[in-house]
Amino acid sequence: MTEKHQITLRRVTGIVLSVLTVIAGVLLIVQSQRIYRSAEITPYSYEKAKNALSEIAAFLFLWIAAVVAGWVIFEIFPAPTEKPRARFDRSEILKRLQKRVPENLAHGSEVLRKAKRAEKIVWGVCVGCCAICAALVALVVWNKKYYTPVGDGFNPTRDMIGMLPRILPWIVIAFAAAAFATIFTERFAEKETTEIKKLLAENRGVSGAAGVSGASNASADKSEKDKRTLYIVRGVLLACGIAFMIIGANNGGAKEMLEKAINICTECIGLG
Amino acid sequence: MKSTEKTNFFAKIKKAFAATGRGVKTAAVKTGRWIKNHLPSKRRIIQLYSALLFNANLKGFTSGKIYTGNSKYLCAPGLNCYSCPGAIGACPLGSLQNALASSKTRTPAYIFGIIILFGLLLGRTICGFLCPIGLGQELLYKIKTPKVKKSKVTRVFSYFKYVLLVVLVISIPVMYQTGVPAFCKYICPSGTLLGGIGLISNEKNADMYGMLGGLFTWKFLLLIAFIVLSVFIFRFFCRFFCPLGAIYGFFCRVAMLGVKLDKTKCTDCGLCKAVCKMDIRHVGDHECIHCGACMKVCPAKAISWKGSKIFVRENVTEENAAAIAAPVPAERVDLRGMAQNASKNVSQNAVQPAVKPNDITGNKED
Repeated sequence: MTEKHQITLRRVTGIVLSVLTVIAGVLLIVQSQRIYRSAEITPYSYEKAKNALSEIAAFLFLWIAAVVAGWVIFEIFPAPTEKPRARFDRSEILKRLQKRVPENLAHGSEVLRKAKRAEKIVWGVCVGCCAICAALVALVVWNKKYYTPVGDGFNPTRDMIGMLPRILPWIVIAFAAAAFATIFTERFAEKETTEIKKLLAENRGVSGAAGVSGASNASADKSEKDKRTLYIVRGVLLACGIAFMIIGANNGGAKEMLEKAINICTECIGLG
Repeated sequence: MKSTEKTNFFAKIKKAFAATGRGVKTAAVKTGRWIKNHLPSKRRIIQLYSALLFNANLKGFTSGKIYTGNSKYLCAPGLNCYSCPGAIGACPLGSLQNALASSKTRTPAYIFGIIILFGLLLGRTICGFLCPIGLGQELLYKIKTPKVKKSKVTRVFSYFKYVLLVVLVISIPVMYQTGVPAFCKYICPSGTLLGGIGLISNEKNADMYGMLGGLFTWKFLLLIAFIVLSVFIFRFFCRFFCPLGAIYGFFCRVAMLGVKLDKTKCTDCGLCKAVCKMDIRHVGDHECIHCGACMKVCPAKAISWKGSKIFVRENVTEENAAAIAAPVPAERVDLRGMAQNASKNVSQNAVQPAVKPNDITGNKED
């Protein structure tokens, strides 16, 4: 089989497996939904679950067979092993180029100053947006009003469903802001990279800090200091961990944990 | 004539046997080589052993009952539901939520101590080596489908697990002050798969079906979504949803075990980040699960295991003693070449390690 046919075969295998995997997942979800909607009270039973699985068992076996077949195909016609190649997005390249440009040149460039200012504004807006969204979520999550007290009518699931429309939009907005800021940073990085390449070309022979340098005496001292701090922090954490466990064993925390662990947590496993 | 014919006949049979024998030998050699190349790596073996160890109560799967022994005073380090019939340890996340739920009456010191010790000693090495859910996702990822690669945007979304940690794991149990382990109840796939399905798949627990309803349907839907997406996205649950990974990530700088980067040797070539399937910014950060895949591709040998001088003895011979003693000189990175390559969208190419070594990570297929 020629290389071109092998590539096609691998691609087709991948696509077929993807489709079968998604269909298998959808079938399982559809079956569980069918059982759930089959009755108002106690919809599930062992027989219903068994029947529902039997209905799609053939497809699930087909999926398993396809997975095995896919594996065999990739064994017989393996994809060529490529040497690892570093992937640099624009901001990574920019960081590396910035190390080559002397500071006085970088400060002198209007384009670079504008791009840096724009970047700061974008990230400032993003951080501000995330902080506001976090505050709004906290206002809901840490508000006792949204939690029904234990007793008659205690229904945490209803409380969660009530809270969801109040917190989910803010979470989505915060992550969208962070994602947009990340994408825009890449665009600024492209402008800055072009400008820096121009500066480097105009000022050939003038170089900034070396791209990579070995540790100087100052950094050797710093790393010794860092190591000492690390050992101190580790020691403190170790002591805290052991102390907390002893305190917990004495105040009944360990026993409480055991009691929870040796009884089936019906909520954890979806039994409600 | 007859004897000649007989001789020829026997000669033919002898030839045929010899040819068959050579064929069988070649096949055996090839099969042996194939098996050797496809042996599980040491990391995979550790993952399998730990999944078995933390679910060692195999009798529970047949009896339909969970283990009630004293080993449940301790937590399994990974995400292993304590309602799984095989589980012999408690779940750190479930225990944390329950402890926080009773934090008004009792300081949750015990579980804090356990988590601090796990984080300090192992950090996110737990994710890379000991967590059964991580193992399951890695095995699903091996299915030969097109994959969704990581990007800067996936790194942004990887912070979602911190939101789940703050809201579901900490805030809701504290606010209710009663047993509402919100993450376990509404999200955790370990509970659904290991606990729920592990119990109800046993006919002896048929009466439990009466308790299934909307909550189970929701959790089952989530479980299937996690499973399907893990086929396309590496460690989908771990990267975006696991609060336990988020907690252990706080210990990334102080953990005693894991990978570390020697900055004096590092040439900033970026191969480690290219090969890593997690959303790391640098080796050993809070997203790193310390699988060791980066160690194999580092040209400067700048990445090693923490404590490797204590735990891993290098085989020092006369030939390599000088090389081990002397650091690899830093090489200048060709920035112009990289810039030109980036403008040609080289970054779209897939990356696979050229070498498939055999050591503690044994990244043949990781």
